[in-house]
Amino acid sequence: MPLELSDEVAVLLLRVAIVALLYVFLFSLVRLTQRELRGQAGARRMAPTQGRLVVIDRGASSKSLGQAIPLEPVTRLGRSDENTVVLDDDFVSSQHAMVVLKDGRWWVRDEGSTNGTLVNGSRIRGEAPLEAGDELQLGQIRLRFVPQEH
Amino acid sequence: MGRGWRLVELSLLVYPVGLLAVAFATLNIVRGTFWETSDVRIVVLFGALLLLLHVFLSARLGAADQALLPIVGMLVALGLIAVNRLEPSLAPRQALWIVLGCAALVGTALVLPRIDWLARYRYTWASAGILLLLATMVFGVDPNASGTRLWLGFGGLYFQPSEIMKVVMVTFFASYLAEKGVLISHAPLRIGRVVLPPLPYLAPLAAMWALSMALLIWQRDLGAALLFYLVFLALLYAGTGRPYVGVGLIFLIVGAIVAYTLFDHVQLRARIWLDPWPEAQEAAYQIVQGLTAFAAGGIMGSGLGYGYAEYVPAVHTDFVLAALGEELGLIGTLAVVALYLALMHRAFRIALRAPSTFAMLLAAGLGATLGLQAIIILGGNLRLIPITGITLPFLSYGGSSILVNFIMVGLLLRVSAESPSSGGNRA
Repeated sequence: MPLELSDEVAVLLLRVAIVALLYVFLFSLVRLTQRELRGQAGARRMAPTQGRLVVIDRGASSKSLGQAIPLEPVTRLGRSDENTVVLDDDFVSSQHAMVVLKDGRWWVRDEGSTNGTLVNGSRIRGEAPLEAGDELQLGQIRLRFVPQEH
Repeated sequence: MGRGWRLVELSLLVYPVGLLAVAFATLNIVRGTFWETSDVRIVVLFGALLLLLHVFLSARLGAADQALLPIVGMLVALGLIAVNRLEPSLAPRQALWIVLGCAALVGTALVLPRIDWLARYRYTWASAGILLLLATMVFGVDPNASGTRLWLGFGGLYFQPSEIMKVVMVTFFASYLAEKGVLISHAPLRIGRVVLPPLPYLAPLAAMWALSMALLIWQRDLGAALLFYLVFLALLYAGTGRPYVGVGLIFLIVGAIVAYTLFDHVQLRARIWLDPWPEAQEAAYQIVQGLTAFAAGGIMGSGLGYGYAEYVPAVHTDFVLAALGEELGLIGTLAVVALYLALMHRAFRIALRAPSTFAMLLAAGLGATLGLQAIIILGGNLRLIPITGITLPFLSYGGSSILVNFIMVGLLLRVSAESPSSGGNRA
């Protein structure tokens, strides 16, 4: 295929244009995501605390009586350091329980703990919904669930 | 729902149209033709179509995700470039399917009264999907001599029911897990440290899975069977939060060994994957030609129109990345992979903000389907995994695949529009 010099230059420029279009597009996507993440972080700071756990019996842990623990949409409770809320009581398992916000409701889920998770004195199996004022017991620690006040 | 200026989307939509115009201009110069009218028509049609979709979304689903349509537009533009480069005679047909796909997208986003309406009739969808697959087994045709009768013919257009099964399966599993997920993860059965799921609740899921699996293996559509199984695992994990994935992978290995011993064509696929070179002229011809194309492309590529993609069999469907790899180089293929990553990111982002458990699982399942499908075929092209003939979403030539992928995007857009706190239009 005999191409004239000007055509060769044009093809070269078009090749560069194709790569540029692909990568400028991807770069704009990255910037959009960055903006969105920043907006999200701002919104999270402004959001009111949606639920808390209040310590009503600290067991052998270093928590103090009456201390309010704010809940995140997924809050992991247990003895090991990876948890959102670390409960340093010998009767608490390393990954003990999880409190999650699902469809506008709070649930507590036992994560296979040795001594179990108790809601109002009875051991739960798997997942249980939480009502305002419910008493959670993990090991020797007892916590009162207080949802968001309107 | 509602109206809203979607300026982010509008500004991003410039890129796919620009890409298509620049690529078609390159092809015209290389071929020595001066702007063939059919090419101009496709570029104008493509731009008009994206603009129409944009106007429709602004009018009806103002809060929907704004990056999804531009990402899909980029992939579709690359698909049109590939088909125009490789099989120009098929380009108008591909364009027709894209128009139909956009219509399906609008239909999906518009017709559904509520997204949860899909969940209510899950057994209807599942039965309809299975009936379609059964119909393919009886009336199936093989229009392009691929060796498998996976298509249903209708007035010159061919449709692949296993494609629509993807959406049906995701809808069914998502609605089932949304309702029963808590029960399934409840786990009352325990043997030592092993937690067994309550079997009665898992049984319908397993039955549904086994049925579609049997149909697919019967039809020898192993790529689709692999995709369905992995999507099923992803949804089970997303729906229950329990690590069934480990058990599922053991089942996958067992399934692979069984398939390997039972089917000759599976043995062949594995053999030419591990060592294609002795059979480079026979069974492994396609793989070796594909690898050669990637190698010839190098980092910068040979340039559009300068490659020898015609030597790769099925290059416009299963091996479309090989053609792009040769002519756009590593730099082009990396951009394609990044586009699929961006697509999955948007889908999972939509899932995280979904208004209900069903909508969340639906979006996550659709994202997993698109992403896993891309991984399975891209990995096959690059000889990372054995090659299974499935399409590269939006990029491969193939009508039913394009149509169904657009429906999936329609569902994702709809879910994102219903999110309670969708800040998508706050630019």
